[in-house]
Amino acid sequence: MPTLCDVSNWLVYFPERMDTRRPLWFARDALDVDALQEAGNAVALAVGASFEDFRRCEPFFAAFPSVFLALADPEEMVAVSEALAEYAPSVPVLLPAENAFRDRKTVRAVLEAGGQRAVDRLMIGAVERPAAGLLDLADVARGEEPPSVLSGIRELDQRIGGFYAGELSVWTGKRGCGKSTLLGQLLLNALNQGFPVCAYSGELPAWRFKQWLLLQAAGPEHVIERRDRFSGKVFFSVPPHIEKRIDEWWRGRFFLYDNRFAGDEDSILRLFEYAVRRHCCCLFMVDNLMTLRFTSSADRDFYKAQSNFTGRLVEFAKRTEVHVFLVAHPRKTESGRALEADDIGGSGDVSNRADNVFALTRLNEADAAAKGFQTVLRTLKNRSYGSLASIGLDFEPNSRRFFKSGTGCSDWRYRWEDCGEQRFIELPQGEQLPFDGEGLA
Amino acid sequence: MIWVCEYSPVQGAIHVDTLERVLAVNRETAARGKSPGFVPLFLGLSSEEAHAFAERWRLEHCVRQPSEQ
Repeated sequence: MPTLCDVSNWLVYFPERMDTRRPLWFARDALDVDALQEAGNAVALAVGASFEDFRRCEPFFAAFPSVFLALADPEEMVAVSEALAEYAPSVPVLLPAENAFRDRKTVRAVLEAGGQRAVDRLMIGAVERPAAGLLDLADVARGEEPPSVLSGIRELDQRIGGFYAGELSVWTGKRGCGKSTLLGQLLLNALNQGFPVCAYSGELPAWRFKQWLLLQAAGPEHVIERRDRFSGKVFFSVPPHIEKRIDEWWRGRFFLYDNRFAGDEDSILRLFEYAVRRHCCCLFMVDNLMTLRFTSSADRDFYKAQSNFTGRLVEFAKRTEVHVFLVAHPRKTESGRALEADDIGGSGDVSNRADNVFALTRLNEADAAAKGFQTVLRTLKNRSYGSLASIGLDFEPNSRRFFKSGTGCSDWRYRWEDCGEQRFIELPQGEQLPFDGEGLA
Repeated sequence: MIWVCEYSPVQGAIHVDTLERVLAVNRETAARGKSPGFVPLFLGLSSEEAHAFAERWRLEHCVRQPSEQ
């Protein structure tokens, strides 16, 4: 056993009874040390010494595997524990379990009531005080990184880092360029990453919105071609058994504002608030700014109302730490000129308040043939990184999926496909059932 | 609350936000070793003031040149 340094100026103990192979007991006073002399290994603060003297006693304490605080008073225990953490930080400290002393105030009271066995039991359930400044990696919470929802378009995610909580993204583009379709896909991608979503679509009835989303969720592999009985037109749909699986996948996680409801800004924001609190939705879509009902009708008031609503969406995104997509149509621009952030219809305030502004442009046939893609997604504003991106996208019409031009890949799978369909199957006669006879209860 | 109007010459984009938020985003971005390139141009005591400045700035400095069209 190592030779112990002399700390008798600051601690009361029996030097000849010390055993450095066993934990050291830190008792309340000299009387408790005396009561523990049978077991040995007990110390108490000497009269006239203070907690600061623990600094000089650190090598002494460190000679033992740990120091057990045999103190009944919780406040006293915390005080000694904190003093040891400050003045003898290298010493592992064990704290008695709650109620270890029951109603006894001292070790000698425990000894008198229950004998040596009762004293030995004081250490049962003792917990080690976490060392200040030392983290167990398993206990380290994530969250240093601000959470972001990835778009699923790698080039865009690399540029902007995904869609961050507390931000507003404005999406603009001429009618029919695919804004709603692309945003539907982004909502599905968010869902696939585990983020519940909520949407307001002022232009589409709920059944149409779902029909389009179903095609995107199903993917080209699962959609079937059908022909309209009257017009003869070909269209694509999702078979009922696939729709059932997709419904199960997004149930309770994908919400749509009911357009039969008021459709005004107050009710939309009120239901969005509910969706955050009740369903933990992280990504919201307002499609679009021009279909919202505002009370003002005069042009100037209408623009002012749009501006106010955008401000309310920004405030909602920041306060609830969600990301909001806002679709805004552009005002008419000179033919052939690319859209800019300022081209968003109505008040300029809309793009001013947005953290990101994206524009989607569908190319004419000649340009598409020359460039090798049909649609261009451009970042017009990115407040966080200042990234300006221009990404060519292709479109798979059957399943309405956009994908990065040149990758040739529109057949990615959403997680509904991981959940296998449960069916009853009939086994050939005489074949043994799996697990049969294994005694499963 | 103090409102800021910022401008990015590279993006040609205006941003209006509270000072608190602008600083928070700048700290996050700078910590990642990036620079968003937005320059603060105006401080005001209301969002209306900042937006009014933004509109004036837009008219004076964001007018497209014929060659850009």
